[in-house]
Amino acid sequence: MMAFSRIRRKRLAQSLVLVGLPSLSIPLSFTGAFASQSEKPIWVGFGLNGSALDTRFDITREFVKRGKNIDLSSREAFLWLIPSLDKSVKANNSGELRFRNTAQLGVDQLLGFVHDYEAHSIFRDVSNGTKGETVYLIAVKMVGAGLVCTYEKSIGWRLLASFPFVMEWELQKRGSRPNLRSTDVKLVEDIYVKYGEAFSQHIKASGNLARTSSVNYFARVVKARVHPDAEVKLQKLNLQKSLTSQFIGFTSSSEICRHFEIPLLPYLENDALANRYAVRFTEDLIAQNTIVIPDADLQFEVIVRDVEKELRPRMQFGVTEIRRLLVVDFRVYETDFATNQPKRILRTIAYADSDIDKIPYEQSDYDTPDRDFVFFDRLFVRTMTFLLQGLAKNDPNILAKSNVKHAEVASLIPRINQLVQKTR
Amino acid sequence: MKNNFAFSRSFFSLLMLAMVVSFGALPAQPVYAQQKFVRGQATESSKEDALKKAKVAAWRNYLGMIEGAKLDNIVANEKLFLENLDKYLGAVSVVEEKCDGALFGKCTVSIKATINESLIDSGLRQISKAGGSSPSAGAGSGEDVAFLLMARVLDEATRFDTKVTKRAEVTVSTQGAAVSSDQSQAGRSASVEAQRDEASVTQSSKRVTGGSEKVRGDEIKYKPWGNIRDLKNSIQETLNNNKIAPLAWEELMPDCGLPDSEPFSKQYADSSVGDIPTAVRVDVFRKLREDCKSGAVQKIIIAQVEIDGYRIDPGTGLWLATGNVNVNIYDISRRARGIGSAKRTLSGRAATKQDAARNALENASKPAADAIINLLNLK
Repeated sequence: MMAFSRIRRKRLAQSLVLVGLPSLSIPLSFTGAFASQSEKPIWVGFGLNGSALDTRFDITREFVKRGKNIDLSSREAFLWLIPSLDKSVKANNSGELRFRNTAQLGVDQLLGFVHDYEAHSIFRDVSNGTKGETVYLIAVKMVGAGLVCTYEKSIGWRLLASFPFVMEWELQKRGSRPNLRSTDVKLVEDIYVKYGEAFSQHIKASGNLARTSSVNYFARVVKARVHPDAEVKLQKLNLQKSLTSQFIGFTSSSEICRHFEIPLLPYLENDALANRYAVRFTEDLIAQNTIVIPDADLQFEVIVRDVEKELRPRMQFGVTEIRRLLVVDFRVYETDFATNQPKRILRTIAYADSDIDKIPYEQSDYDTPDRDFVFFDRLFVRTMTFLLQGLAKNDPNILAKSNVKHAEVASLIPRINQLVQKTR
Repeated sequence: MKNNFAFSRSFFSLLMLAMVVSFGALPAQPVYAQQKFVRGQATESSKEDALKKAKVAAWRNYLGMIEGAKLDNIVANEKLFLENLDKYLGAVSVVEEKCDGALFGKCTVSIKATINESLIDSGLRQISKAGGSSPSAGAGSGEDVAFLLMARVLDEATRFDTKVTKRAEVTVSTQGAAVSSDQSQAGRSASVEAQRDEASVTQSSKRVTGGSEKVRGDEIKYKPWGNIRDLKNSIQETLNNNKIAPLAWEELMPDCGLPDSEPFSKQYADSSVGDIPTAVRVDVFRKLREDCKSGAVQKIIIAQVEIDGYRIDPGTGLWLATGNVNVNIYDISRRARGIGSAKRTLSGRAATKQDAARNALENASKPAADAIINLLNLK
């Protein structure tokens, strides 16, 4: 109910409006991001963390191509974004960052903003416009990360902190069905500007509380996938290309970062992207080819175990209720330092209670895969939120909202929180 | 202590891009290393002893990450490394310690550390030096070493069209059986072998035409890389930094009656098996062993670098040249017995094929030199 009612509240009278502020996941605290005032990172800008050809960047690719007449593989693909992003970061983080024309490798810490994942859905809102027009909702999800790093000649690059975050953005449009890949491609520019603002707020929130030290103890989502049984059901719902392992991996990374308040190693890396930018640094190709993400000590696996969708026509109310269910198999591993092998410390099945989504009775054009994706996304996020919060706070009531019995995991929670503490 | 993550290549690139985008040019800095983390755990009667043992376990963990001649060199001198372990293990973090509190109890300590490979490489060089290496030879042998480098690049790949041969298939159906045979389109009669009922033969027939495809393997041609001096100098620089100074080929030519090194690249380029002709190699070895006025040369390093493919990198739109470098070291004094060999892959990108190949060859120099150093030190 939460997600849908939020969408419905945001009906505005204009033919095209941007709805609300981005829903931003900001961790309450981050540790280790900025070690001291004397080591404030230098702000270095924005980039894409993935191949220019990756399907998960469809909107961005079309936007820079059609809206900016630049190919996404071009080094100039994001030049247009830098001024507004710089301004936003500077306004929110003047005390935490340095803004200089040059950065000295081997001396300075550097802060960058990377874009990891994007997804969007367009579907009919249940409302009509004031003049009876059809109203469409555009829901966009962007997952990025703030990364702080430094470089030392003897050991190479060090990632000092990595904190993924998610921005959800909703737009309402009246009239014809919007299309972010063609007719409404310019809207993506507004989304990116807000995305930059979300990032700068995210940095502000994390930087203020980042003061303690770390022990080189890393956490990462190492596996994210859809169970074959669920995959079959997703195919029937035509969601197999949207509710993917990448969606699960990036979303759960940002949720774990948010609720456990820990940095996470990047969920995914992509060689092609790195090489794309290598054009300016040909002498560094060897180094790039050998740089890998280190093994994580605290590992998470997130599996979408099952999905269900049920339609309940209620003729007397003139609506069809849609109930959805999404079941998550969540596993936590720690690395055994004696054997270097992962050892499972938690496996639990979690699911949040379904929203009740209502669409007009016997009007199937409201019931689309895009609509399903948005609701399944919210269901997934809510499940992860209740589960992770419940574990972090060792709170039976919160865990119960994810249908996890506290008694079954109570003995494991102290160890999980102990390991979580190590990553800070 | 900082929260140190090894850096993903993606973000590395991003930062590079971003710095240029935001702030203009930065000083170009070569990047050679990647942070390596190792874990170790040990149980002992005291915390201190457990920590020491955990460091050794972490060191052994590192040894599990490397291979080849470098590993052999370290293992052969491991005592020296273990005596200075704190130098090679950086940022040692005690991740966990558990002591049972009993009077004669046990403590288990788990650590994570970074490995300083630059210092390890330096340590290997020191060991080599301490072993009495001659400035003109490798790895403390006092022996003369010749160095022959050849490079070839893909000239063209002749791609053959698919050859299609049409065939006709005749199927004869009977009440009792269906049989088929192939016949060429030239119209030779079908040879039908079947058991069939004479009374109900040939109720119907059909003729189906189709084709078969035959693809010949692409013919790859190489050409010698024109200027290998840069590559040679680059490799020699690294060798010299490691106290290995092979004899210049130009000096050996008049001394041993050797031919110019240039034709070797041509022979290498022309070779379908990726080597100079055996007879030529044997002759070179003989001359180095028997004909040198200044005394026999005991060893020879043969480094062969090839660029064997080009393609457009989908991410950058740049030409990507790929290839490999093969290093072989022979002990000429002992029937040209092979001392060791190594192979490394290489790549380079640039706006033109020529520049991509040049970058790839430049990138080849360090792994080639490293392979040579470790093979000579292994000896």
